[in-house]
Order: sequence, then C-alpha cells, then structure tokens
Amino acid sequence: MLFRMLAMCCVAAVPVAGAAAQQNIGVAAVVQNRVTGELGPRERVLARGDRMFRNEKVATGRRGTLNVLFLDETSLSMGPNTTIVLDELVFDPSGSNGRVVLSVAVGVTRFVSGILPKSDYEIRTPTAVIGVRGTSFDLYVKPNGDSTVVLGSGELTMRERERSLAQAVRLAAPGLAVSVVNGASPSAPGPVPPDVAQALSQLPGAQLGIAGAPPSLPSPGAPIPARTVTGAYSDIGKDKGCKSNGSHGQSGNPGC
Amino acid sequence: MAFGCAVALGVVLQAAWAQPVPATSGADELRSVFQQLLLDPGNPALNLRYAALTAQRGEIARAIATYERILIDDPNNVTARRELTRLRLLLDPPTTEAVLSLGVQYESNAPRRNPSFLTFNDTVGTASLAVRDERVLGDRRWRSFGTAFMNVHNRFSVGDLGYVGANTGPLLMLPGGWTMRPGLGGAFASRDYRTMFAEGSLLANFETMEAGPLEQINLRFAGQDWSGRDPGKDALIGEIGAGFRWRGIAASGDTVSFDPIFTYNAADTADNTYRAINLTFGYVVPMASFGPVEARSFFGRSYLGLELHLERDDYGAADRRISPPAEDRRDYYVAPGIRLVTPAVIGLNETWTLRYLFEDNISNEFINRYSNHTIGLTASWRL
Repeated sequence: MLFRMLAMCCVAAVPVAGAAAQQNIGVAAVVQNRVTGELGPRERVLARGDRMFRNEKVATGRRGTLNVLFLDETSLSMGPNTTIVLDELVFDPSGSNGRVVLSVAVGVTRFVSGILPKSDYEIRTPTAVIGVRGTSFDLYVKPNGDSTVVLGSGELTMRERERSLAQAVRLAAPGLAVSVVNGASPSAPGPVPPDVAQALSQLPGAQLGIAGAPPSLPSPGAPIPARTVTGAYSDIGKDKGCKSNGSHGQSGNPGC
Repeated sequence: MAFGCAVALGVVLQAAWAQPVPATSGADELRSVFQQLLLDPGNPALNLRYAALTAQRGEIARAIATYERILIDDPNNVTARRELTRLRLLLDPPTTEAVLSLGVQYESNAPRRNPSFLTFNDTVGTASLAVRDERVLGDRRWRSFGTAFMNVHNRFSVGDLGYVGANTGPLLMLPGGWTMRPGLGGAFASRDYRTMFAEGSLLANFETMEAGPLEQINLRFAGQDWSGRDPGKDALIGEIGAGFRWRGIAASGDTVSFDPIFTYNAADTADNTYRAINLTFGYVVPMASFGPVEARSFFGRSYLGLELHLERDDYGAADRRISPPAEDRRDYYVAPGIRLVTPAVIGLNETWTLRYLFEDNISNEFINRYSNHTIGLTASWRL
C-alpha cells in the first residue's frame, strides 16, 4: 500500500516539479472540458485538483469552464472562451497582509471575494479596473476590450483603465450593470444589456434551474399570463352569473 | 524529481491526515474545512460543510458559489439544490416593479347580448396598474401582487368597471426544486360606480424552474360577497390552474404558452352556480424571426402574439328569467386574437399593443348567444 502510494506520488509529481518553485495561489475546483494553464513557455491541460500559480495564464476552450478556489477563499468561475491571468495573490492567514490582482483579457467570469479586506482586491480588463467593495459580481469582457460588470451583492467601483480612482463609478445596487465601452468613462449604473446577460448565462452554474424566480408582470410582449397569479381583473369579466349576457375574456366588460 | 516527489508526498500525507476536525467554532472550523477543501475540492461532504458554515456566517455569495460547484458535479444533490434555492431568494435584492397601461378599444357588441336584443357598438377607455413586490421579511422572502383596473364606456355606462385587488405570501422551499407561496388576498369590484362584490381569498402558488414545460400550479379558494348587489351570487369559489411554457419551438425567442384553469363557483342560487374549464393558448414570437430586419427598426423590435381562449361553462340551473324553464345552461366560448407589440414608438419608454379579439359565445340559451369584435390600442409603461 505504501509502495503504491509512493509510486502514485512520483507519477503525480512529474508535472508539478517544474512548477513547484512558483507561488501556489489556489486550486482548480471544477474543470469542465478543455481548460489550459500557461506558465512561461509551458502549457498544461488543467484537471480538478491541480494547483494554480501566480502569473499563470488560464484559458477555457469553446465548451470549457473552470472554477478556482484561491487560498484566501476567493472563488473565481470562468465561462467558455475566457482568458485570464492570475497576476498576484498575497495572503497572510493572520489577516495582516494581502492583495489579489487578476487580469481578465476576454470572456465571462464570476468573482466572489474571499476573506481579505475588500480594498485588497483589484480586477483589471483591457479597458477598465474594478475595485471590490463587496462580495460578488459578474464580468463580461468583449474581444475588443469593452467591459461590463454586473453586481451580485455588496459594492464595487469601476473606472476606465487610464483614469484615476476619483473618476470611478460606484455600483451599489445588486442586479445593475456598469460598462466601459470604447475607452470612454464608465456608464451610469443601469439594467444589464441583453447581450451581456446572454454571455453571462454561459457561466458555470448559471444554467442550474432554481425555483423561486419572480414571475413577470402581465406584459404586452409576454405570453398570456396565468391569471390566478395576479388575481387579474379579467375575472370580473367572467361574471357568469349575470344572466343578461355572461361576458368573457379580457375585454373586462360584465355587461349586466 | 526528488523534490517534486517530496512535495507530492507532502500533499498526499496532508490529505490523508486531514480528517474532519472536531467543530471548534465559527472562523476556526471554517478555515479548517477550507484547508481540507483545497486538498480535495471535489469532495461533496466537505463542500456541503463549507457551504453550510459560510451561510451560517452570513457569507451568502460564497455559500451560493459552493452549492453551484456541488451541483455542477451532481445535479441531483437534493441538499445543495434546496439550499441554493433558499439562499438565492435571500440574496436577490428587494424589487418593486409596476406596469401602467392606458388604452382605448372599439367593441362591436358592447353589452354582449344576442343581436335580437338591444345591442350596440361602443368605444371604451381602459386603465390598469399591476404591481409586484419582493423583499425579505424576517428570514423569508415575500412576494406580493397588486392590481387595479377600470374601464369607462362611451355609451354603455352601466358596464363601467372598477377593480382593486392584492395578495401576499412568503416563498417556501419544497422538495424537488419547487417553491410554494401560500397567500392571502382581497379584492373589491364595482360596476356602474356601485359596489359589485368584495372578495377574500386563500392562495397557493407552486413554481418550478426544473426542466420541462410545467412552470406553475395555482390554487385559489375565495369567498365573494355580492350582498350589496345580488345576494344570489354570494359564492364560495375553488380554482386550480397551471402554466406551461415552451420556448424556442419554431423560432429564436418565441414562446408557446398553455394555461388551463378549472373553476367551481358555488353560489347561493343554482342558476348562479357553475363549473368552468378555461384553456388559454398563446404564442409570442419576435418579428425579426420572419426575416432579416434591422434590430432597431419598427419590425425588428416588435413582437407578434397569437392567442386562443376556449371555455366551457356548466350551470346548475337554467336562467330563471326564461319561461318556460329550459334545461340547465351550457356555454361554449371561443375567442381567438392577435397582437402586435412594439416598444418605443414615440420615445416615452412606452410599449404599444394593438390587439384584435373575436369572441363567440355559443349557449343553449338563446339570450346568451352572442359574438363580439374588439380592437384596441394600449400604451404601457414599466415604472
């Protein structure tokens, strides 16, 4: 048994040996389909349980997704066709020192911050810098660098990359989005653009069917709603006991 | 090589010895479980424990991320699914949403009488306000609906309606990925600016987002008091309905809907007592599906809607005004319709709906046989 364990260790250690000198910053917790890590000249195909290293460039394939757990308990999820660089993670378990910096080159990511002070987190895109003041957000970076962040909970700031922190836009309303497009200043917080929502739906876990999503209000563009949900007024029109006519439908006319 | 082997051995031994530690409390145990998770990130028991601990400490986003991780590997993990549902409901921000609609419509047979009786066409103004509110109260998420509606006829003023209603209830988790919303409701209706009825109701709405067309089941038990108008219509009402949706059936972005509802209205008098089966079919499709149109053009941003309402009503007695007494009243109601929905025509964030509905009521009682054409234009605003 001990021999088998040692043998397995040695086999497993081969790809690790070269990277051991690198700073381990986390672990690949979920890997679906093809995901690669690139550290210097070497490229490796990631599997669950693989350690992640500082300065490692991570890329998901057309159907690939990845979830990384960092040493500070940060959770980072990547959707398909996404590339990031794990720039920096300094984590002192005593809590006296820390810093996390990630660069998202392209694609969709979900970031849930760890136990470091919130000001220690910074996420960069080709056009924007996001400062974390809360716990979770989604980020979509288009191939041209246009970046949109959607707040899940807490707070964040977003600024154009070349501008100062004083020119950052603060986002504190969960569910709203801020974008940096064409290198301009960040937009005001607003609804999530449809193309961004579509892109973010590719995040791992986004497709998990969960009950409890609020039903839409009666909307002209929506299917005819189930009327019992809203106690809709069309019930009035079903004044069937009214013998003079017994009108129906949603015209709302009892006609008695 | 030797260095790599030593590193890997250290990792393996650490994993082997990293048995779950006795619960200390709070942060220490959380940190301990997380250290084990770094060594075995696919371990469902560790993930469940970590998620539970983070949730207990109010770190909801991290707990949600962990449950999602579990479900990616094991979509049938009942605990993870139940807790994820519960936590998402807690984390979602409070929302209040309202839709105001103002419209005008032409009706060819406003009183909806047999053409042998006095019938006439009319123009009708309509106004409605629908409100939905969701927020966490205590440790439960509450969902509330409010609806107000009125119409004003140009000629048939005795048909002018008013209605206000509201209901509220908490969202509860059920096994199998369902939520239940037990609720209390109330409503008041007027006709010709006089009280028509007051209603109190108990509701139970069941919803699921599991794969499959069935999205909701709705139960309603209500008492209606018509004493100010027609005591014979005082009734206890039981109703059960369901909502089915199919998306992307024939075109990108389209939705097929089917909403069956069964109602039993037990009124004080037999001729006001009835059973009704109502089937509503709907189809909504983006106009852009019909051909290459520019997304921002009129048709590029418009929707086409088709609808069909079918209903059968069985009454407990014949119309008491009919002499000699006929057999119990039976009605068959058919109403097909079509809608064109276009947002932002005049730049006021409005959505326009042009709708045509044809109603045909076939009854074994002559007086209740009628047809009616309605064409209306409505502007709606999401407030």
